[in-house]
Amino acid sequence: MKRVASLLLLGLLSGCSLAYVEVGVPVPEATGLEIGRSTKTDVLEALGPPRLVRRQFDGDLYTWRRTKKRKRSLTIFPYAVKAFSYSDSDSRRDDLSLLFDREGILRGIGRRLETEEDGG
Amino acid sequence: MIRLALLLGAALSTGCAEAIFSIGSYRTHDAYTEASLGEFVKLQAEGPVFKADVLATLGPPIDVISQDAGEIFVYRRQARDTRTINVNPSIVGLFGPTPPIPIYFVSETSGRDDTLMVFFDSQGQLRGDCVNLGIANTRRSEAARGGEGARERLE
Repeated sequence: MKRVASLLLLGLLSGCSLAYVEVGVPVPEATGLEIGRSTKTDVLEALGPPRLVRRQFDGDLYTWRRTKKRKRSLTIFPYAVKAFSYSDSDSRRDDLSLLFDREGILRGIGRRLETEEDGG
Repeated sequence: MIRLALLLGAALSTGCAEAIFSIGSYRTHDAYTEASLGEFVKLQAEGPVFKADVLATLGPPIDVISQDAGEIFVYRRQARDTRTINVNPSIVGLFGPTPPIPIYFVSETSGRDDTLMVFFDSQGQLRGDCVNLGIANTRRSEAARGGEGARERLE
């Protein structure tokens, strides 16, 4: 009985919150694209418009991106006088970047998937 | 006993926005892993390295900076930790609405980054790189120690 009362009291004296923010759709797979052969037109047809286009001396870098943010917080005694509050937040992203030369031919592929880590 | 109950009732019926002691911690994605950095070092030892090789090894950069003749690929992870002590009558709802004038307020923020910059010439060939590992450097800041410590315990 005492244990239940203690747990109930602890529950009443602390507050938790969780917030998730997701921007963008899952990044596409670069299947069917061939380095040295596929053109910008092929890529855009296959993957749709990129989120970022960055111009470079030797060509362009197209990036498809999804970002996920998570924030969690714990407050001890969240009623009149909050004694202690802890919050932490993380931001993770999935990126697919395609590198083109000046002629618009695909020259490189880079991919990083982080949002599914830690059950994110 | 009645006075205590009244005080508790008054306290529970009022709200407030801040805590007396608070810790905040923020981390972005991993800029690179030990494994990908190891591969990158190996790649450089093997011969000339181009953008496509770096992209395949380290993944997409968070930023690309144009220079007079070439670009820089930037890989970065950010850490921000805050520690605040705020003793302020306005956060004690017992006295009704009061101006937010602190009796004692101290706030410390630590911003640290891990950054890898990869330099390319105008032909897209790698010409150099530099690394700064700042996130693990928590020695000089209470906020950094608090944020990193709390994260480690939670995980």
